[in-house]
Amino acid sequence: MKKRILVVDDDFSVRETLADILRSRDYEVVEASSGAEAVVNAGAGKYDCVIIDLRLPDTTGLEVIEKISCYVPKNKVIAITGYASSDMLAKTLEEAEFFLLLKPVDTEQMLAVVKKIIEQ
Amino acid sequence: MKIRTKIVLLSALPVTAALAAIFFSAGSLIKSSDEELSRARFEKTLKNMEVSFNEYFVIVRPPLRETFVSLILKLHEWDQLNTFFVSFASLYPHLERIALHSDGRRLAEMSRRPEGSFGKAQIDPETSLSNIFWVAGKPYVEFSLPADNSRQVRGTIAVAPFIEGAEKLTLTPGGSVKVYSVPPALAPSGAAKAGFVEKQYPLLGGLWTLAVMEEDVPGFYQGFRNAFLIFSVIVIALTFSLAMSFAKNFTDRLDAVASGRIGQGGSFDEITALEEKLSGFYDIKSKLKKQISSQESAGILGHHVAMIGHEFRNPIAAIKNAQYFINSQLPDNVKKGKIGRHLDVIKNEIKQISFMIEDLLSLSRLKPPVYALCDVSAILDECVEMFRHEYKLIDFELSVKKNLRIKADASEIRQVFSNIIKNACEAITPPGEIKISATPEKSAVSVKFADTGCGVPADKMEEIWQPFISTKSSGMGFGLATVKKIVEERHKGTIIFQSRQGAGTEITLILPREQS
Repeated sequence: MKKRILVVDDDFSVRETLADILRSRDYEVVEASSGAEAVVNAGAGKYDCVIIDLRLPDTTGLEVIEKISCYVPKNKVIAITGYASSDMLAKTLEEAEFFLLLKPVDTEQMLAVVKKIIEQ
Repeated sequence: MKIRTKIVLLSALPVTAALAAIFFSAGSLIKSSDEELSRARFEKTLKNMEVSFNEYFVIVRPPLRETFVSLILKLHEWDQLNTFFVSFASLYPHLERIALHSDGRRLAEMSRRPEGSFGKAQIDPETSLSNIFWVAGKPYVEFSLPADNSRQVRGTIAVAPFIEGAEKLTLTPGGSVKVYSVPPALAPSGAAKAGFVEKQYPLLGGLWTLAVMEEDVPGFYQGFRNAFLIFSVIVIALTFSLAMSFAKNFTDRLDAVASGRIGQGGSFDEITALEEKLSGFYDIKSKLKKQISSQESAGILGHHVAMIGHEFRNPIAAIKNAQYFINSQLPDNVKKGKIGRHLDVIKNEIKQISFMIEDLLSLSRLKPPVYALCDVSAILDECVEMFRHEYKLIDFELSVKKNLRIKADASEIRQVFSNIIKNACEAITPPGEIKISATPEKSAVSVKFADTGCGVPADKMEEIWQPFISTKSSGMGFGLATVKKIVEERHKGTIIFQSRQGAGTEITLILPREQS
């Protein structure tokens, strides 16, 4: 059975290209373009990994991570940020509740992290 | 002119005047004490002679000094008058002339003879009544008295010893002849008939004035002193006005300097020097102002640059993903063909753009770095791996101790290492070598990058750290500027840069373990 990944990003091109790469690696990918959509999708199905941009149009990625944490544990989340405030970033780095990748994200690196999470 | 010189010159004037005044006043004090003494003796003489006198006054008409004595004399006191003259003359050795006045008229005048005695003086026949003359130191009085309108008295009184052989003195008045004898005491011892006063002539008694004229050094001295006193007053007034104008000029210039109006010129060398110094400060001030405003605009620009940089990231991420996806979908034979090579071009160019954007963001970064414990050796490994793949003809030699942990912003440190290695790779015309070593120090970690590249010309050593300066044909020249900013400003580290053109470059970074 294919592993399922939820990709949350409001940028269509980024989201689609990333989804296609993941699909080419034989993952089942569900896309969400907003925080609300992400929460709905997370509740509607089971996911082995969530890749989420912390900057979203309707809410923050951190809030989404909190909201979906009952469906997807935080250690299965990869958050991507280029804008993180230094406080938040420091806290996240120390607590290491979820994976944080800083932009620009190296595709190979991300695939490696995804693989690691799914194999946990 | 210097302020000190001006003050010295100004103070010299009143000091000179004061000294002159003191000098001459002291002289006048000595002089007046002499005068006091003489006057006392004179008055004593008058008292002894029972001559009553009304006034004793001195009129000074430089260079002549006249002493007036008002006397009340009676005829029988003529002898006393002569005694008085003698004593008076002896009191004033510097006397030149003595004159007798009555009712405001000059009656008689005596002047000192060459041998020292007083002698007959000129008489105005209209106004003079008497002529006093001295013979061999003995006084004689010759007179004519207008007793009334009807008669005129003429005669001579010998009040001192007579001319040898003479016995009496005859007065020849208009109507009656009066003989006035010599008082016995004054008669020469040989004069048998001494003291032959026949009749006391009713000579006009009343107010007489004796005028004593002095005309010598004291008079000149007095005038000199007065001249000097006047001079002193003038000098002091002049000094005061000069001082006032000096003070006004001085405070005016100081006010001008204080209110920032400088370079107007003026007569105070010290203030001119101060102005020259101040103009330097004003230059610095205006430069600082410009610098601050340029920094402010740089801050605003930096903010915009950061926004733009962030906005570029998403499209680049999409292109990167797309390239990756296409590449992963191609069969191996196609990958090795033209399509594959073009995809590599896309990949490499995207990487270049990513580098540029990260450098731009670093230079314009407004947010403080995020310090966390990170492993220098791991970051170096990552970076070298990335370039080793790209520059296959360059030999990377890594000599790094494991677990070199420092507190730093990992992404920024990664950017620093990448920039340095990238520069080294671009400086080498393959084949070449890049040696990287990292060693722990007491409170820091030292990382050294040495390449066998083209090196940096000596005259470019300073500029390469400035943004937009590049010795290479491509790139915006942000690389080393970013390195400098991240290491020195954001991590309190040190950069040691050594380079020789044609031989290679060696960069050593000293990164502190802790950030305070």
